Amino acid sequence: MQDTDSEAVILKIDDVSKVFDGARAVDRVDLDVNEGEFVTLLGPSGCGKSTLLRMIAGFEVPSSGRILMRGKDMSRDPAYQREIGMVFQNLALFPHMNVYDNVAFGLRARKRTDDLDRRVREMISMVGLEGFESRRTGQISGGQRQRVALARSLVTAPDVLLLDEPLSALDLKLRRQLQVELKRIQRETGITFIFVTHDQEEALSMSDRIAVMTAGKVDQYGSAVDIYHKPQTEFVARFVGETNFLSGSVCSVTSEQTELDLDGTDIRLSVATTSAARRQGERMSVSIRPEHVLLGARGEYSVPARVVSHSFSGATITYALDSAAGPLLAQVPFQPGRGHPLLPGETVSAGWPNDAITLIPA
Amino acid sequence: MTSRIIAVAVLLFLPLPIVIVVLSSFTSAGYLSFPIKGVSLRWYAEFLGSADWLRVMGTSALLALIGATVSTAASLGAAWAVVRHRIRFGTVYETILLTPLIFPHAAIGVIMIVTLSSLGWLGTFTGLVLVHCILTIPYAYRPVAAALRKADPALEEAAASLGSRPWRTFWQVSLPAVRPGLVTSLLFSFIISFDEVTVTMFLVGPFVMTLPVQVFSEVLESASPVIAAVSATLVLFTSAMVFVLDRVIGIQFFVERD
Repeated sequence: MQDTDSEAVILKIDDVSKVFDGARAVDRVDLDVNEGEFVTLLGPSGCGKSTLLRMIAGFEVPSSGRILMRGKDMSRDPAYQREIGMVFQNLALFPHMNVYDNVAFGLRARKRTDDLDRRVREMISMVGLEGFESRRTGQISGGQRQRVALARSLVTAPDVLLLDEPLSALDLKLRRQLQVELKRIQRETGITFIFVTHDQEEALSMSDRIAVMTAGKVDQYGSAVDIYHKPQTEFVARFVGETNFLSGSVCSVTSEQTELDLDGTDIRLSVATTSAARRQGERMSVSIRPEHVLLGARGEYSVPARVVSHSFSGATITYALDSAAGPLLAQVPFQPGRGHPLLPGETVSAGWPNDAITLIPA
Repeated sequence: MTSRIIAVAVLLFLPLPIVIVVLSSFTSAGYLSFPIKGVSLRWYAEFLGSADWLRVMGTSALLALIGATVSTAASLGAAWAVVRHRIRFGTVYETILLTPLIFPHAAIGVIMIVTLSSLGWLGTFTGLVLVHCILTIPYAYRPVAAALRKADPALEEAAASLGSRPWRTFWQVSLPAVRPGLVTSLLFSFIISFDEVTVTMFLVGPFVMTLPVQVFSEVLESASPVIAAVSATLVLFTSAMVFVLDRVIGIQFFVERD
């Protein structure tokens, strides 16, 4: 976790729960968002991320807990009194208005009509839609509609902008392009973004911090690098990228080092102790990302393994291996002309460096 | 080939009575007949020159206008509750609203005589407005509910997140989103009310009379071609409204469901 200066915290989710018909959609969530930050709520569908977003927007009232904006409790304020913009999953552009009037709506509603025209045109040009002002929203492309939705929600300069999977309906290429653009616009405006997605790649590439959610709870909240390289739960490790799980028993714990006997081998792993550490004799897992598995006798540890299958994906080849410590995925760079890929049935030694291992409570 | 001939024959047969009425309205003879003897506009002159006919037409138009407006407004409220707020027993409620469609009109007429006389409204304009609202609500409700189901509820949330207060959201976002349904509802219930005979017949009196009922009683008394002229005018008027409806909204809006 990075240091959070309390001055800079713009939005504070304080022990918030939401119960629908007895089911806890959001379960005692705590979250701080700093001013100007790009935070992503990441999780599978039904994990509560959209419900949390709707509570921040003011479309749902928390069953318990508080939502504070710049230190002021606004959990029960109606949506129209909050300085919070929102980009909807289906965009929700006003179909009976043209692009200009869609963008101008927020300023008119908030009665900020002096130099309205200049601000609307400025925003339209920031999202690259000059010349489309008088088009109806039905007469423009999906990507352009996306930009209108963004411009409409940014024109009032909200304190926080919420984005509910706004890119999910677009094809991959357009999606990539808009991800870059969203990031640019966020930097240029300095507005705090809270972005909801189920796409872990999208989350990793765009966010300052990611909150990984499952079953209504935040499993881990941290930088993209931490989420990927130091997952604290099995769910986070599995949901964000692919990973290998190897299990073992703890044989000694000090404040710095935890030693773990890996099942099926005589390997004793020595890893940095984390909050997840357990007492001697207890079961734990380690997570090793496939791209950190090295083939050939390399890395600090190695186990004998047999190739089960391989799949080629351009720059890399992923091998499914059967090792003494259990099944392993290894993703290695593919260099044409540097020998043939390993074939199923071949034996190889699979290893990994010590710092590639993360302890996960079993 | 035979099936095509049958289809063409049916299509020609359907509007044939209308064509005959329109043609016979131009007769110069003093009685209703077809084919006509000579061409003249005397019966149109009589219709439009008669204070009685014009007063009755005015009553019908006013009745239809008020009835359509009230029905449409009531339908919007009802549809809002059923579609947006998903009130309990919403579908039961919807079915009840639509019952005047299938309930025998003669029975409604009798029931309404009893109801209106207990209210003291029998033979009054107010009574007719009430009954016409009941009769047109099924026609008004369906297009409004269909439009509301099509409209995206996130639009209202989007407006709220942009700082729009509820009344502004209603006028500038919710209402325009269902506008096609409202226009259809207004025009359609206007037509239904303007043409209504069966139930209205039971309820008119010496102080209030509608155009279609007047036509009916004229037919019973005499066979004056002025009736053909009135009918032709009604046909023209109704066709014009359906044409406008088709141009503005598209006729499929109230033929299709949702």
